[in-house]
Amino acid sequence: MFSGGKLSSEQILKYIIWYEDSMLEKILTGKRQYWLLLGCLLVLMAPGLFFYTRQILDGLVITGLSRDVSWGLYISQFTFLVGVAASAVVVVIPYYLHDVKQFGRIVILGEFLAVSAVVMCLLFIFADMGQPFRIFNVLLYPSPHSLMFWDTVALLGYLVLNIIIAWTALSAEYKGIPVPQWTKPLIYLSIPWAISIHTVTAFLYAGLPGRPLWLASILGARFIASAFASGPSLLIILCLIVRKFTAFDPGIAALKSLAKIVVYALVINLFFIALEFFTAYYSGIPSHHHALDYLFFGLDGKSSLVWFMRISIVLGVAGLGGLLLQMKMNNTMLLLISLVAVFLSVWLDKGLGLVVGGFVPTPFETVTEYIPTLPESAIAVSIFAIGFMLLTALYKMVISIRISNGN
Amino acid sequence: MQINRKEFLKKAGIAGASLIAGGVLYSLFKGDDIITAVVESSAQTKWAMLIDVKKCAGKPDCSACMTACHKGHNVPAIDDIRREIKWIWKADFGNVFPEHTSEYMDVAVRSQKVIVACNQCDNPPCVRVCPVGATWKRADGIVMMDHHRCIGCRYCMAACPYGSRSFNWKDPRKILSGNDIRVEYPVRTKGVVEKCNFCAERIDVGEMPLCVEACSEGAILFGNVADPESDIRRALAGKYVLRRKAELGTNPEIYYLV
Amino acid sequence: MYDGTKIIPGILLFMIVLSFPVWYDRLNGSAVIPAPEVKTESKYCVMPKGYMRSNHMVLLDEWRDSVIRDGDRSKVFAGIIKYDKSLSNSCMKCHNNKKNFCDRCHERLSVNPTCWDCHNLPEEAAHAN
Repeated sequence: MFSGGKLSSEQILKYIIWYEDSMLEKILTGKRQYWLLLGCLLVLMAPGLFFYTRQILDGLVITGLSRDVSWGLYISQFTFLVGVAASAVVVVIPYYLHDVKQFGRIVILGEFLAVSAVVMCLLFIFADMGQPFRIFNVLLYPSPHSLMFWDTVALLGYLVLNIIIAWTALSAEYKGIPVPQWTKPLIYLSIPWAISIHTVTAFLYAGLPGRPLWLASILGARFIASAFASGPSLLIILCLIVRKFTAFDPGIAALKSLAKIVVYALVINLFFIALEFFTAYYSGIPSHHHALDYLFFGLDGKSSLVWFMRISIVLGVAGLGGLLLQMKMNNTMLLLISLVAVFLSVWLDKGLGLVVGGFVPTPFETVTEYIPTLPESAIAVSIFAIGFMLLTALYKMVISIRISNGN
Repeated sequence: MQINRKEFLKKAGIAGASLIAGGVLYSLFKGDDIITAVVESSAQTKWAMLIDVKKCAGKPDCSACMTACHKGHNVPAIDDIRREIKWIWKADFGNVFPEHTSEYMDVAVRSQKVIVACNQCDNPPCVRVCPVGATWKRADGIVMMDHHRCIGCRYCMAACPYGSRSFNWKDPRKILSGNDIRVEYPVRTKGVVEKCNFCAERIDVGEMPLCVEACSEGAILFGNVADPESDIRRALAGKYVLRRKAELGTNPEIYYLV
Repeated sequence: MYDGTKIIPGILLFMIVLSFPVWYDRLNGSAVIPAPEVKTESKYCVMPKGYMRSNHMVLLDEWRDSVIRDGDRSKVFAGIIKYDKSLSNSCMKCHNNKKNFCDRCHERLSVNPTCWDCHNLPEEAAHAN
């Protein structure tokens, strides 16, 4: 690309800026399908924005939260999405540590998925706060004894890490030069950092003496296992969509390898759930099994989450079966359905059961149920739409660059 | 190297004096009120409450302590149990002490009312989890709230094993009617957490908490457990008392005489 | 200059529009901030007028940290009278007309302190409003 002779530093800078700009420009051009997708997401985003202004003006009274169940949809989605963000490590470790070249075309998609997931996490936290405009207090008055402080640090750091790593890699690919060496230590850092963001989130729950459902050493392990089952599932689903609707093929062989990792993670996750059931019911200690009673069987006549939780288990087992079957049958549709089942299973378990279940029964052994309201759900949908729009834009950039490079 | 006693004492004296001077200058420039530091001499004070369940249960329809507290602190009265704000309230014995009930306990006893409020724990989980230091434990044991700093994340509410904390889901001023507001004590704003604070604003000027004064039966004994001669210390030494969820290690400072 | 006859008047017009907030008030005579009405019983405040005008918000912050975070409810002097470190119970006992005292400057300068979301106006002020 250099026509010979030395370029002045001014010319090199202009060249670099042109490259970076034209990377972003890829987001601004696209086929009808691209704009249709963005348009639909914009429509999904709009009601939530309106309801959020209501929440700013009226307070969190517009949600279904209560004095007894003080965390609900927003925090549960945040918890689930931290897992999705952490799961980028499932492609990073094989590719960078074990030289599994197969994953080469997917790694950056995993990193951008992590970026999008972390942005959604931060938005959910912001949406959940009673005084969101005081958010800088977390940085102005650092409290190292609080896990929430460390969670903020970890999430912000992970976001910056992934943006730098992914952008630099993509930029180098675009220019046709090798990825700069200074990103290597950052990539190695991102691996334990990914594990730590989800462990810190688990620690938010697992250190609270008053909530027996959460007060379990296995919670951190469960979080990682379920993250590694749900995150890569979503990544594979996204890659299958990309494969179907664009000219870029991430490589079906790579996706099937990734699905094998999902299988192992899912088996471990289901095993961990079984372990929870064993300790709770075999020991017979009321505080240990009351929360599971409420979630899976109903407690005090209140059972609004029961069918969701049972379906979560069914979907998990069915998804596992489907994944194992599709390996034999080599059926991509079955792969897709199984992955959706796995994703939904973990989403119901972590996004619905875990957070709400922790508050039941209350410290007074009563049951207060929680159902998200329409405004609350609209705000959640809106945040998902924003995250998905960001993901679409980033993926578009990757795909356009790879197509123009002739990959 | 030889050093004689005179030299040593001279050098030690200069070092010591400059250390003290530096410390004084430092705290002056830091802006701390030195008088406060002396008054707050910690180990001498730890506030605690002893609630006589039988005396309280003798008047089942009485809500004098709750009314006094809530009126005195502009706590809005909200009917909806999902949004209510309560600093001190009555709950059934069977709900407050589930580990001390049995299936053979009379319904009448199981539903005897017990006063509950923030236990001002010695080892408070809520203080540990606050990401901005909006709640902290004072030297005299009271777990305080700074409503200016609270970001409304409600982590403290999740952490409290006793359900002592309430959140302002909407603007409390819209719920309180103008006549109900006690001007001397601020109202809170929406989006912050609040709880009983052992009437810190009254204790600091030598008065008793509102609930203690309001109780006609003398069911609430309030005092300094760090003082071996105090009434509450003598009562705790001699009687069988319970604390809520003592096994959790929070070390609550509300004791119950059953 | 190419197209100079269009550009120079355009720049001038832009400068006039940009500086609108600066010259409009001066022309109308409303550039002066109306003085807050000080109808207090006592002649002395806890700090001198000059300090208060620029730093009353800093003082209130320091009082808040002192009372709530340090537990120091010692009183402060205004002249020979001692006052609590409290907006509602001290400042506004003397400066009891929020509209004519506090709001006069705040509204003019488009400052929106949220103090009164929580801190109550004393009876007299509440009824005056």
